[in-house]
Amino acid sequence: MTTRSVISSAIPLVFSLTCAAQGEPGQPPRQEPQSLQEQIREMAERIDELEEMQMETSDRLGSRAVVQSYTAQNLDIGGHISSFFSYIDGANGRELGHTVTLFELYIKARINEEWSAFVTPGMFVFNGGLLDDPATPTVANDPGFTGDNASNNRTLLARGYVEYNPSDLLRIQGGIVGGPHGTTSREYFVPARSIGLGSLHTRRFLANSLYPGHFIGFRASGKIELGGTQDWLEYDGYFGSDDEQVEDPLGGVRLAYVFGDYGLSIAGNFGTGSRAGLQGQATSTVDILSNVPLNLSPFPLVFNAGRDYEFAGIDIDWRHGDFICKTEAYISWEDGFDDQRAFSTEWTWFPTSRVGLSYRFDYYDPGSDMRVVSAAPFTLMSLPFGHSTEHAIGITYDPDPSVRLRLDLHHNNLPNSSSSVDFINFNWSLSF
Amino acid sequence: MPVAPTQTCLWPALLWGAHASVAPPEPCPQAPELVVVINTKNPFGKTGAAARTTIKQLFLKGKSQWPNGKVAKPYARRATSSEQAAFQKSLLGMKDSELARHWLRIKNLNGQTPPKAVGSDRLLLKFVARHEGAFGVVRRSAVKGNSKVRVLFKL
Repeated sequence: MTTRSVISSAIPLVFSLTCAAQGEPGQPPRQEPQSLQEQIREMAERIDELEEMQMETSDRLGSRAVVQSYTAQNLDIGGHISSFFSYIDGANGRELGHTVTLFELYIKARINEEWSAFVTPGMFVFNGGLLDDPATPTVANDPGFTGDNASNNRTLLARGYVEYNPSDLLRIQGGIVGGPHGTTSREYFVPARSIGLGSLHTRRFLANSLYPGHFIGFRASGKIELGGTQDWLEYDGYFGSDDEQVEDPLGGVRLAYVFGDYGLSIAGNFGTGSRAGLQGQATSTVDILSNVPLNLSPFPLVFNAGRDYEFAGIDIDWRHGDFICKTEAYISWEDGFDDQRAFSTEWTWFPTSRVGLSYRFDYYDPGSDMRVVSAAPFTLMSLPFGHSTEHAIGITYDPDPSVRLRLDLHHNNLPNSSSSVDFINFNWSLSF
Repeated sequence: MPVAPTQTCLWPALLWGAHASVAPPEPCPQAPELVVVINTKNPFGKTGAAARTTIKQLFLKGKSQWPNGKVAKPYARRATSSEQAAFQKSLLGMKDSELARHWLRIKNLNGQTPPKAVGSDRLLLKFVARHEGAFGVVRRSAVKGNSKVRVLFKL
């Protein structure tokens, strides 16, 4: 029965009840039982509710078409748009520019209680910020920004998987899946971040650094309740390949103990895989010479030399009221090259419902790689990158729960140097 | 923490104490007793703190199923309603902004959405009666005579 038909059938009823209560016109009103008055009141309330619901629905729909899904029981569509602007103060000058604008749609379709799909098609315009890095003397314009044309924006698919979820004990995802490692990487999407820019070892845009942030394959995860306590165990296991190295497998596990009462989780991680090297794919020396640090990172986007690796690490995530603390420490053993080491700790406090204050410290040593030591003759040699540290303080302001404005100040100590560079990021996310 | 029982309003009482010639203050209106209800067919048998913990985990989507494996279907109340305010304070122990951050995080983790918000007790009871895994918070007086839902605990 439609709302309209309910209302049209209810009106005569109310009218008749009202007449019954007041008597026929011209006749003295009869004394009516209390229950009749109560019925009239309740009926009027229901009509009010129905009218309110109908108006609300009508307001939302307007005169536009209603989306219909083919087979999904539920179809959720949302997304976000985030923009980053940076001011870089380096040894060779100062630059202000746009770093990246990213638009991603979230589409979740559920066909029944067990099966669903989640996909996040996105587009971005990327003007990678170049820090003033003495390790890249061939780049004349750092600090600076690389060129990109908004009309030629690029696309990305960070997540695109089918999920089978028969119970809380088991959830299987297959497709382009997020990796379970790392406190920030695990959440990946920008809108929920307090400091917009990822930590040093996850800063490579759309690329895996120490551990895989995303991969193509399968991931199984679940929660195991621990009887008699508020605590539970979370497990993750995955198998697949890096999107840049699809012929080589990667895999890993994460096991976390969650203290439900305290909002604290402590996780151990292990994984193994192969890294794609630019060296094998390079068609000219230009490819390697142009493999420079982008996106406000002091380290290149891609390793020049491919290698196998194993890694291990610990994540600690603590959320208590208006306080969030995320800390992680990882090490990877790189076949034929130096180990990678990373540490990041981020503390955020929300003194008011709209304002957040954050501090983060990052340490990252990407180990070593084949690097250019001479342009003529062109010579590569395995050399360490050196380590970089970074202090970042940030302030967030949420004018609405779905809008977050951020201002982050970063002080980066460049690798293999006593030089440092400061940069300020102004960025925002609107999610819907 | 249960909803504060009805008491005489403090400020009028103090004022009345200061001006004894004025008529005694009216008591504050009785705060309605709120309860969490589930479908009668739901065999969930936990009580007390265990029941509250389960409801909290299901509402926040930390868990998606009741212990019997049935998919949970939590319903919220309108953000501005007294029912939702009491539910957040008494059961979730979270402020509006904290809850908003939680849903933003959940959405960005795996695309999940917050529970649907329902306006009236009557409508919420209909939803709970309709779906075996559903639950929500309503005034106790609204449940009277409804055989399709049962009270799990009071806030």
